[in-house]
Amino acid sequence: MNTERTTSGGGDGDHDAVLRAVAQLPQSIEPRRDLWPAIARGLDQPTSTRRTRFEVSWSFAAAAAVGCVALGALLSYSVLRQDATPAVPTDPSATASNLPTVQQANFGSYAALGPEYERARATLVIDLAERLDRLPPVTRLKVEKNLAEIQRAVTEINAALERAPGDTLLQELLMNAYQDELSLLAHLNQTTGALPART
Amino acid sequence: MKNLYVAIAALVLSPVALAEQSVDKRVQADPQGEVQVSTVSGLVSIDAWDRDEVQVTGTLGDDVERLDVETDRERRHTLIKVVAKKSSGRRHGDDVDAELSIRVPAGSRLDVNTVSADVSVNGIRGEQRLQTVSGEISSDIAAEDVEAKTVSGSVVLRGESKPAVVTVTTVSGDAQVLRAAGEIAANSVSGTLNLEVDQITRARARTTSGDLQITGALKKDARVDAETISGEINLDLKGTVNAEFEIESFSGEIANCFGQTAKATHKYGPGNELNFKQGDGSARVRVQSLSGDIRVCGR
Repeated sequence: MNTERTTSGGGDGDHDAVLRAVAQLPQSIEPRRDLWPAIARGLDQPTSTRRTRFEVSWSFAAAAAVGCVALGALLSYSVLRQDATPAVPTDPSATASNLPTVQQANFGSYAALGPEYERARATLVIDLAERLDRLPPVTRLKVEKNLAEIQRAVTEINAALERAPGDTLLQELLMNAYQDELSLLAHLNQTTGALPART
Repeated sequence: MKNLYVAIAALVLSPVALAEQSVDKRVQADPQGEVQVSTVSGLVSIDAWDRDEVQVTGTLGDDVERLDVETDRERRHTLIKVVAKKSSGRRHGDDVDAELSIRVPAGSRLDVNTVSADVSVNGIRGEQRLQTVSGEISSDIAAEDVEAKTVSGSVVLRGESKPAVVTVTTVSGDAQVLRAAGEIAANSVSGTLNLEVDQITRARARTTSGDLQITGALKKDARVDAETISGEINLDLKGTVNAEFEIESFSGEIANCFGQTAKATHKYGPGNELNFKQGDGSARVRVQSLSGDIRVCGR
């Protein structure tokens, strides 16, 4: 049986010359400075400060998932409402309440949460404005004050995001603040919805 | 002179006294059934007893039409409802007072809704869902889940160190949870949250501007998440602490009794973070704020 030897070119003489040249190369190369201290520092660093992009992505994915579920529910509610009622105006200043006006939901100056979110939020605010009168006056004032408190927090975080746009802490706090606001509006709508209208 | 005061008092109080109706109703109930209470203002006091009955006694105000106490055929569900008169010009909670003293089987599940009535619960071992707009909630936590929600009212929950899932939500009301164990979730906008949990497995607490105090021992693999925008967070951990800490604030200060100091997140700009491991690091503690100060200590 014949065997065929494949070479990239040249004969056995060339091959031997290459092997000789390789054998003459140094066995190791010393770096010009000691690299170990920097590597050790990196390994000793707590895992949280070495937080990978993957981990951050997961935490935001979880937050986004919660947000999507909440938003989905709100949008469904909003769509169902549209069938029964005239289109919801996006300017709640038409209502007589002292509720904070619905501002554009920004993420710093570089992103907004979109018209669907704004619409769902506006719907909740308008619904609440209609029902707020059912609450005892002192409680109503507290509700208005606390909704304003959340708006102030959102404004504060957005202002901070202007200074540090890539800050993941601020992004998470802002996402949570928006979710808190929606939860609070939904909770208040549910609570006030169960109260009899003032006669 | 004394007689004059008595006469005036009698004159002033007599319409009220005449208007009040006394109630005393009793129905059979399943020992593990659900008891639902709905009222407007006044007081709801619920106590456990060892009978398979629900008893409602108390007084109803002038603007109360009637008190319904109903149960289904299987005695699994009892409804106690204060029905207000449909009088014109009535303002909420003004005259719909009902002072109810309710006794239920100890294993009952409770579902209580009020507008401004205070809610006081003692000795119930079943699940509790307590909700009020401006009333105050006070209850015991046994080994079952408790959910307390208010808008402006305060919440006080007292546990017996038995694991349970406790959920507290307020808007401006303060909340205090004492001797709880297991899982706790608390949320408030401007109310102060004071959570004392003997053995924490999971704790999640968030405020916007309210202060947050968490005191307790961490179980192995416990998870603690605390967050505020501008309130202060105090975390006092009891016993041996085995946890990995991840603490971050954009502009608040971070104080740590375990020794490690916070460092700047950015070279130029605000932001502090403190990450360290205590003991074997089996639990995880995450604390965040925008401008609120954070303090973490062990006892």
